[in-house]
Amino acid sequence: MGEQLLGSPRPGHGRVFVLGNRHGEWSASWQDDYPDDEVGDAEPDAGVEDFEGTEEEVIRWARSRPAEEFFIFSPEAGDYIPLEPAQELPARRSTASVLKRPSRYAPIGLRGLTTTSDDQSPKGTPNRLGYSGGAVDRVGAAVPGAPASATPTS
Amino acid sequence: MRRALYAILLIALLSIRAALTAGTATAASSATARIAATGQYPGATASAVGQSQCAKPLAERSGNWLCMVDPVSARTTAEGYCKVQGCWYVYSEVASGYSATGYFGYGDTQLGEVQLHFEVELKGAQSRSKPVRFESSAAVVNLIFEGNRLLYTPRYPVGTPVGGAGNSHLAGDIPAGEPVQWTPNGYKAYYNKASEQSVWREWNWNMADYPGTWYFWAKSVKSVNVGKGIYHFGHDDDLGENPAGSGYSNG
Repeated sequence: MGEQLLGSPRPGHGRVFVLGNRHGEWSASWQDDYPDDEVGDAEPDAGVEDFEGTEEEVIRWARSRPAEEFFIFSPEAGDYIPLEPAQELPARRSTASVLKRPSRYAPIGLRGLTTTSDDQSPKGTPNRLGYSGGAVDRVGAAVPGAPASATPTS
Repeated sequence: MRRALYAILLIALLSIRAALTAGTATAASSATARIAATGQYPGATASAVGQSQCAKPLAERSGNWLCMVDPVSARTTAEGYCKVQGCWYVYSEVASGYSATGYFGYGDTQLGEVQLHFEVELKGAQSRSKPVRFESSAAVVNLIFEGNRLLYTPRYPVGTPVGGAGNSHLAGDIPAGEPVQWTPNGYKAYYNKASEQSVWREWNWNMADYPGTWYFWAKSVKSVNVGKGIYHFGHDDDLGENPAGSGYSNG
């Protein structure tokens, strides 16, 4: 039994998600679900491409993907919020790219968050994350800006 | 006389080597068969085997057994939600964890204590389990990590595996007291066609001089689809039915 059968995301489609976790690791995933009428038997029904690295590397990689939408996880919002393409890369140990946006719903497990749909928090609200790590390209494709130590993941 | 002694010594050495080789071959074939059977293990739906032994005093137990720490009633702590089978944690809307301690043995002999732990993070509809960790106070052989995504529906309150998402990792022979992880990057899976899901994890291993395979499995806290292909974890007690278990098989 091996890796899950997945294809590559299609340019112009799909969503990129960026996450900095509690262990100081940053990673991103570009996910594209193929239309049902374009998927044959025994063919992958989605394309996924992943990347790991420092915060700066991951955000740069995410923005360089030709995806349709971009998100980054905000601990303050308790949700993935839009990753603005026009902002400059954040300084190390800050996430100026994170906008404090309201959660569109009240997810289970949301703790102490009371944002509403008219929340107008300013841009550039820093979050608590500021991590670094090593670059990894899961599908083995060339990764702009990735250090030479990048290795495929299982 | 001396030649006869040398002959006896040589025969003895050859016999020991043959026995050791046979043992290795048996262990290797066992691991190969178990890898091939990944996804067919009872894990997600079966009740634990051998747990009847846990209620007995050590001296009265027979066969393989794997028991969790002394039973405690379900409780919620500042750190997480704990049951007999372990503790579940929610670190954020997109990160959760699970930890457990168990004792395994054969007959009236306790062979070791195991520490089990895994975490899951969610990026959209992708789950990544890292770290997936195992540590035993006794050396074990053929340690295998297994993983799968489970989906839940009213028909499947215990969860049912997502086709094609299963994977496994042969960690091999692990010395006593040495923590080991699913390397290099744990377990990943992508699935977005169910409103409720979890990640299933199993650890299984052999002991050099004992028959059978000890196994332990656990499911993560459930995650729910909140829109735009994004999944969030629920509370730390939001578990599917039969969220963890342990036992042994003869293979």
